[in-house]
Amino acid sequence: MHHNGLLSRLQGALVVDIPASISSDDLMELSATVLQRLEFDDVAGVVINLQQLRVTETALLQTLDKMLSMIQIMGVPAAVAGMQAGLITALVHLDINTDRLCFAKAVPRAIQMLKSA
Amino acid sequence: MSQSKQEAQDAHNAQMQIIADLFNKDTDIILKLWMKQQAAAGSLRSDLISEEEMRQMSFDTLAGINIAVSAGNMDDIEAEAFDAVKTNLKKVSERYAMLDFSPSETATFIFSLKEAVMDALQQQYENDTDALFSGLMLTNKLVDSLGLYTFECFAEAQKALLAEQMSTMSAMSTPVMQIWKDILMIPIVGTVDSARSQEIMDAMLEGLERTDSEIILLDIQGVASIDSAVANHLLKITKAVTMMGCHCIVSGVTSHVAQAMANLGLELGGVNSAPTLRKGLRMALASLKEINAQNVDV
Repeated sequence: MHHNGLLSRLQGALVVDIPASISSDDLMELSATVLQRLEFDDVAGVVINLQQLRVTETALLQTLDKMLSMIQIMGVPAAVAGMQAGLITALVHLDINTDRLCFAKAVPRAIQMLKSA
Repeated sequence: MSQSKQEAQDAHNAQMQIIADLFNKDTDIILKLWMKQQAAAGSLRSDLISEEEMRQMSFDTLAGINIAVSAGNMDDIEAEAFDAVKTNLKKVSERYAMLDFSPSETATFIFSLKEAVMDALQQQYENDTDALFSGLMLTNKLVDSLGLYTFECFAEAQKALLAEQMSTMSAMSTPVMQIWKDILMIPIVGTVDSARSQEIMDAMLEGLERTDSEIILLDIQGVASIDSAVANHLLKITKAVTMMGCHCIVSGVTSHVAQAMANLGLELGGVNSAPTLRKGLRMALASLKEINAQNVDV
């Protein structure tokens, strides 16, 4: 899977667009790419854009959770943007710890939240 | 076919003919007797349904039976000949269920036909005991089968009505209202268990998505009691709203509720709360002003 089109830099933050349909393995690969970028790039934070994501499989959500944890372990603030109702319900049921995360309706607001955090 | 079998078949056909003739020629008499039986059994509920409508339903049922019996079938109500009468009985059952007739009143509708047909048979075959007996036996069997079918339809109709009422009640118990531009409100009344909390969460998320609002006020003034389970449900709901990038304010956290929660060692950690809906709305408006200012910066 090519990740080039999924990663972009906006106002100093790394924006990761998660496609509508992605497998857990592909997401794992994508998160490895994101972590590598964080090693070399100086970014204000990472915004995971879930606006398009419609898949709510447990394995995928757990990978997503792991991805967010790894970003935070690296000391980079993370924000999640554009979550849909179905995805939220699934995440709440999984009881994923979201205490250290910022949530926003859209990417610009998420970037602003990261900067003011 | 052996001779004895042939004789039995001939006898059965003769009995069928008696009933077919009766339904065909004496429909008016049977209808009159049937209405009388229904009145005597107390199932003509004029407070729920007009006599005219009852008469029409009874007439349609008789017409349906007439079709089946004329086709030479009185044994198997699954046969195509019974489609008309079954359709009509289904309609009657649904109407009775909707009008809140009791199960026994519904059963009486069809079972009282038995006595009406018996009376008609007696009038016609007073001196022919064989014909009378055969007619009674066939009528008994037929009406019993139709009675069971009617009752099944009635039970199904009641079940469907109940499901519909439950869905209406559920929608009414979680009404999401837009009280201001970008501000929604959901008043919670009664008990909050895990099924209800799921409904509330779904309604809130759906409302926020649909209206693209920023803030939702969750008014818990009407919640019967707050214990650790209810507090956890509320926390989950507010967490879900936050995940959508929106703000949740829990209003109606009265002194009584605060005391109860403190005594139980419960906290609404990180959740914006207000003692009254008025204060909650004021808080929401202040937050909205802040959000709008930040959005201008973005």
